[in-house]
Amino acid sequence: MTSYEEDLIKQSQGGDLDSFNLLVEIYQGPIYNLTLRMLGNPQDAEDVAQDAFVLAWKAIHGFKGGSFKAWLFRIASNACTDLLRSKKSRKADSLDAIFPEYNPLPSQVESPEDHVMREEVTRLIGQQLLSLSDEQRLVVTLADLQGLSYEEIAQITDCSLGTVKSRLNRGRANLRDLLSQHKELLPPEFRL
Amino acid sequence: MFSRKRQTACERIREMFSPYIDAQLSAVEREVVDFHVDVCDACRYQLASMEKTARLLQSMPVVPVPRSFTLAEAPARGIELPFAMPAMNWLRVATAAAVIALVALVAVDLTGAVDKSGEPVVASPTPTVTPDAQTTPPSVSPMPTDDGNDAIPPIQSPQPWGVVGPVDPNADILIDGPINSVPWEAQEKADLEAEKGEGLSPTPPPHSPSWLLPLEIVTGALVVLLGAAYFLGWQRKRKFSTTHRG
Repeated sequence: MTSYEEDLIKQSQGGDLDSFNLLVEIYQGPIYNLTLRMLGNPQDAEDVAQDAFVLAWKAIHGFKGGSFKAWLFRIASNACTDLLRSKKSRKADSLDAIFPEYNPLPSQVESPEDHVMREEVTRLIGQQLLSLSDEQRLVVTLADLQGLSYEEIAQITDCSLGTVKSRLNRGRANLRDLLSQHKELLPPEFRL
Repeated sequence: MFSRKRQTACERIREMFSPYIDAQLSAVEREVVDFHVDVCDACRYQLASMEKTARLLQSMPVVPVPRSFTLAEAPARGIELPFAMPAMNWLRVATAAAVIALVALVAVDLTGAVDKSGEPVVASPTPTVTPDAQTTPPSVSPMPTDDGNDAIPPIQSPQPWGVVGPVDPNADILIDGPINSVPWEAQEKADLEAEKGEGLSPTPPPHSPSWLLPLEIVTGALVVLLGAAYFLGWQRKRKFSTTHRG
């Protein structure tokens, strides 16, 4: 955590909303990506991400130090878990993913075919991620998509380091098995 | 048996694949994995495919945020994060301690481990009933001590529970009377027989001290109060957890 962040956190704890909004701007990308991967639905992901920031504002005076990123991710991941749990209990909306166009416009360096292919792969991975258990999906998302360390993941998930390693290992292995059923869709360098 | 052992070794190695890929293993552990995958084709394939899976995931594009999540106005505060709830922790410890104290007090009360004076009752060899002591009528006058006082009272027959007041001195004599001549005497004899069989002291179970009951009541009230406070706190924490866990 940089001293700039520390200053923003202190000012936020003192009630400065502008400072808190600067923190939101730093973390809104990772938080939204986390909620999107966890929920698979852009609308839910948006709502939960917004809720997470509101909750973070309400609770920031209780932040006692440590990794602010991990603290924020924990709030967001718990919010995701709560929503998933309530959905399962209501058995209402299934987790049919409504994936957004991740990158609607093809970049100038890739052909339209490559762009479509990349979209397909991204969609496929997103769908297969949702086939994992919530715990495995969370750990895989935090490790591979967010690039967090094992220690940070342990702090976010409130698990031991051993549990994190085990969940990540099983999550990756399950995902590999799921993706291997669609290997024709994968780029050659990633074919399993 | 050999294949079973090999399977276990492979499973153990495969559990280390993720930390291996993420460089989270010690040098020795890495060597173990390296050595194993050199000789095991199946594990080599598994490791390679898992590495590809991890790289594939890491190559996923970052999704741009659809809108800004900055807060237009400050929502009302007043939420305590459940990261550390020292009050709840203390409450839990205090409630547990009160419950233990209550159980101990009730146990003392029921077992009579403390006599009326508050002194602990020791299962000492005080007048242990021997067969002779029972067959010999204890109606003989007490043995005087050196100072002339009757230091050792005559052994009295155990009184049934609930009997209060001075012991009838004639009771000793009645033991010598005809068996089953009086109903309570038969009961007394049966009790003596039972005690003889178990080798127990004929000393009647002591009464609880007078301070024990109020203490039990106070401790019980404390358990109820602390338990209620802890329950309310737990509910609040649970509510927090389900709505805005942090």
